[in-house]
Amino acid sequence: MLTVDEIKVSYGEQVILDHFSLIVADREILAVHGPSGCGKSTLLGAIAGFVPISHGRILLDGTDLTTMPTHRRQIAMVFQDDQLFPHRSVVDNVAFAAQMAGMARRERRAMASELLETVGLGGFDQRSVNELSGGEAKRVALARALAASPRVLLLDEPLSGLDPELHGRLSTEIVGIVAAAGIAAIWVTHDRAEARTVADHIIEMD
Amino acid sequence: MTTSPTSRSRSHVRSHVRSVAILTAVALMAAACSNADDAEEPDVVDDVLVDDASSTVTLVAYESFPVADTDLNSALESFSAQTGIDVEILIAGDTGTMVSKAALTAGNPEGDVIWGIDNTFISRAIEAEVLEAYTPADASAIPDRLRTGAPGGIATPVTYGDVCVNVDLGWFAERDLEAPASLSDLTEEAYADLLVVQNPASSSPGLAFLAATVAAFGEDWPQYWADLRANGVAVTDGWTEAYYERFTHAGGGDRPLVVSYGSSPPAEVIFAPEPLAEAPTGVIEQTCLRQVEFAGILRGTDNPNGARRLLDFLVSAEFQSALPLTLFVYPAVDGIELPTEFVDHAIIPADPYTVDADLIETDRADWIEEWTEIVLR
Amino acid sequence: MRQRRDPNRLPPAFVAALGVVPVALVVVFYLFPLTALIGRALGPGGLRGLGDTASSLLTPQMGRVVWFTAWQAAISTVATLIVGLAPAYVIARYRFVGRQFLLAALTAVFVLPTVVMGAAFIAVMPGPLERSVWAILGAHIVFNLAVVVRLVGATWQHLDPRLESAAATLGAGPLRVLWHITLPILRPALAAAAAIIWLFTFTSFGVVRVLGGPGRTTLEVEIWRRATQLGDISAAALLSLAQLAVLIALVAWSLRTQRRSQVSLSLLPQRPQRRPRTGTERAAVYTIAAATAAVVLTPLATMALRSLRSPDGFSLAAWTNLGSSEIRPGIRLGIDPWSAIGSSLQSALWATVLAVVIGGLAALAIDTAGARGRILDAGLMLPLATSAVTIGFGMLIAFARPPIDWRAQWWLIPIGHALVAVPFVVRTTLGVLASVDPRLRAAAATLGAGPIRAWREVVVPFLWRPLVISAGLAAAISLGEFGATSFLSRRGTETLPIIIERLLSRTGTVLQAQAFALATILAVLTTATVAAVDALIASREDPVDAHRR
Repeated sequence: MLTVDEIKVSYGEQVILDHFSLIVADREILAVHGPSGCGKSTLLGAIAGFVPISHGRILLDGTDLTTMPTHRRQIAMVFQDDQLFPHRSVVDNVAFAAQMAGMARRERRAMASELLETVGLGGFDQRSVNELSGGEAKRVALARALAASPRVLLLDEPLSGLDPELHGRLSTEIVGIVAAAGIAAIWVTHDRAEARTVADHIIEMD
Repeated sequence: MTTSPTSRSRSHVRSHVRSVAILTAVALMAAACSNADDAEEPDVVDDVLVDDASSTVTLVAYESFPVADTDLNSALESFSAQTGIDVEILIAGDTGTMVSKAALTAGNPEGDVIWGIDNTFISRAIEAEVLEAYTPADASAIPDRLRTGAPGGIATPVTYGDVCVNVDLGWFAERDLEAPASLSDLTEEAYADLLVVQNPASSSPGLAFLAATVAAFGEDWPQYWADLRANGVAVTDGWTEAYYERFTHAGGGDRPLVVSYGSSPPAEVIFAPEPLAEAPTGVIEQTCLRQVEFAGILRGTDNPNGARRLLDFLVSAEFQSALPLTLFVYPAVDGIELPTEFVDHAIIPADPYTVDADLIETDRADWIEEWTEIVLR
Repeated sequence: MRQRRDPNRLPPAFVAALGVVPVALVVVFYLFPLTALIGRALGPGGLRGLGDTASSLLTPQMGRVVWFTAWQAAISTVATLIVGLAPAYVIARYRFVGRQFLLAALTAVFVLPTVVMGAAFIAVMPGPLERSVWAILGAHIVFNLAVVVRLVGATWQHLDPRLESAAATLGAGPLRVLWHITLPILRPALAAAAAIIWLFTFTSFGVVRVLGGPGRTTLEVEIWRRATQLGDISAAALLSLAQLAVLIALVAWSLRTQRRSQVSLSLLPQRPQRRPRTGTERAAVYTIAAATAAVVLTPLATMALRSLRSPDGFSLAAWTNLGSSEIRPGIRLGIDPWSAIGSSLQSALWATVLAVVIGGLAALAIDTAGARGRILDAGLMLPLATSAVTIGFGMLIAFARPPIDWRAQWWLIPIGHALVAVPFVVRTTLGVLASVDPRLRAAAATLGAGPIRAWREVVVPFLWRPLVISAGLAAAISLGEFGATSFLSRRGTETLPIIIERLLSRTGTVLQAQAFALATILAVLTTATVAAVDALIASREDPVDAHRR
């Protein structure tokens, strides 16, 4: 269970999040809905730990994450613009977390290959990430986040910019994968319909 | 209690491997910078001169000093044979350039012994603390009148001669033109575009000639040079270029009048392809200035012992007697027998100009500055 | 309330470790020598003496040196801008056969050693003009054409031609379009180019040493002349400081101008070149291109040809006698070209390694260290605002007393060269680092990479390309470096530019031909280095570029 307790984020004089709180349980998807620029991405950054907070706490199953560096939080994220590593192949993007955890190259590549199959990108291993379509890149980003075996998955507009057909299919897939992994997820979107389809609960931001 | 022999030897091996790696790295660095011989410790300064078969002494000299193939070089080789000290000759440009560089490297010199700082430049070298005092064993044979520029044995006189305007006699004869006979003649229109001189900032004969004009004209010397410029005087950085590249007789150039030495004519006799009875070049006696050249030990030398032994040798009869027919100067040491060609053709002017060393020291920079302004800009 | 510390930041000790080597280099080999120079300039014999030195500087002669320095720089700048406009336009707007070659030639010439350019103009100018103000101006123009073509051309490429058409429909003839529309839009780029060219020509040393002769000196040459020829260290130091003050002011101003022009550039998308359409257009484009190529390449070609000329006509003597410069039996200039080539390559190798390692570390430190990074950034840009002559002069004075008497150390010259090159390495590398999205590091962190690991995995891999580019640049700079080397060089270990200048200062055909031969070798070495780097870069795709696409 992830608890965000009264956090405050500001850039200079401008307050982005003011004493903001939420709770997500395991196996649950919480949608955060609101117009662009309302601080949704900042919220995810604060939870992941790369946006500093000036007040409040973040707890995961009772452990205080507030001052813990990002890489120890076991919170993975799918960025709005993917942030795939341009100098690595598809498979080495997905295998990144395993590499950080110290897994041997052959094992982690096999594991990454499997995950790529799961997201429907079998055979894409050696492709350059710079040659992927929008939907493919999004799925690589998802596989890369899942490969970290996170306890919480943060999804920042994971379906934006995809065509309607892909949009529907991928949303179903992600919901299935999150359920199968048994983890908590926060799904940020500006699309109210999308939020209703995928989420167990919805938080409105403005 | 026992230590496991295997573990000890393994750690020994490991440390050995590490030291080999370090050595290899150092060797690579050293190989990459083969020019640096700074690892060589300077010889211990010792009053007793010991033969050190491995040592090399570097002699810094102006560019008209021969690096091979002359009697001077044979003499230096015999010095090496006697002492086991190799002599390396480092050509450092014209005298002025050589002294300036020596001043900038004072205390950490480019060589061990310096040859040929003349009386117009010696004060600058002394002031910049370029030299280390040493009086060679045989120095008593050098007359005191040559020593005035370098008091206290800071440098040793090694040669003297006169800087004079030289004339290509054949060139004037061909044109049925009378050669100039004095400094003033040189500004006459008949001799327009015929003279080449050296830049006094970088060249020792250039500075000597400037000093001669100061001695001759006193405060009016700037006007004289303005006239020379109007009359088309050419300027080179150094003597070698003026004499061997611009002078009609020796260099195939376009200037039959050149600032050179009173002893240049015998050189032309000796180097002539066919034997000559008369020197093909002459000297305008009324343009001459007496010049004394000094040698000294460069302060901070790596090899003080070798440097002293070389300086001893530079004033020995063996070396001094090779000077007249190689550098075409008079040996500074008294009692050296002069070769006939030299005595026959060299000119010792009866009454050369002289300039007081103190005056040179105080005014040299101003002269050069003003001269540059008048002649070059 | 106080913002909490970012838990993902790189450990301060790590950032400090990155910065310590560059900081040490700047302090020991730049700031300390500069202090020594200031000490000499203001100490007894210098300003404080207020005697000989100050009065020897406040003379009409010095006034004339300053005046000459300024006006030759001004004329060079204006002339380069005028000559460069047509090729800048043609290269920016048209696609034509030889366009890439022309651009490459202009760039290659820009990185050529100054001494080579001097040699080329001695070779190409008619006898009496060999060493004249015309030769100096010519060399400056050819050198800096690339600045105009690159900077002004870049703006021109972004300038919408329809804007000019619009003006034409409103009744403006071609000249008035140029005057009222095009030039005003190009103004920031023109100003930036002018500032850079003025800076280069104001501090011109190699070109003026070779082509000026003893009577025509710029401040830079005058500093060298007083220090090494007249032995007037204090006056030379004072001149160095005066020049430094002018340069820092100018660099600060030109950086500001550049920033402004960058803003205006980014507003418009780049437009592709097109082929010339009408016959007249084609004729004009090719005439301009050919004329530019001729202006740039003729001096160099003439230099190469004249290396084959001897008093008896065509001869390979200069090339076969590279190693022996005997004037008369036994009398030599003390020049050993082969050892000079060796020294040059050795200096270039070490200078490149030093510049790349130190510049790379510095760029990383600046990129990660925040406010303190900006101080390091400014510190490392200082050598750029300091002339190379001042750097070499300062080092020679500062490292003259035991226990730091380093004048005879072989590594002093590579360090001097590296100091000159480091600002370029830092600029090139920082530009790339700035374009790496910081959220890539955040992405790596969410996947379990600690701060240092994340930085190593997603920042460091982007370094190789700018570092290879800067390595080529550093090697070219070192191969041609003449200002600092003029002070630090020692007999027996001279680099190529030093002996080329020495040979060029002689008048004999034989020695001149040898100088031309060596200058040709140096030109080829430099061009080959730059070309090799280009080829290496072209063979690998840039992850940053690919990412942006």
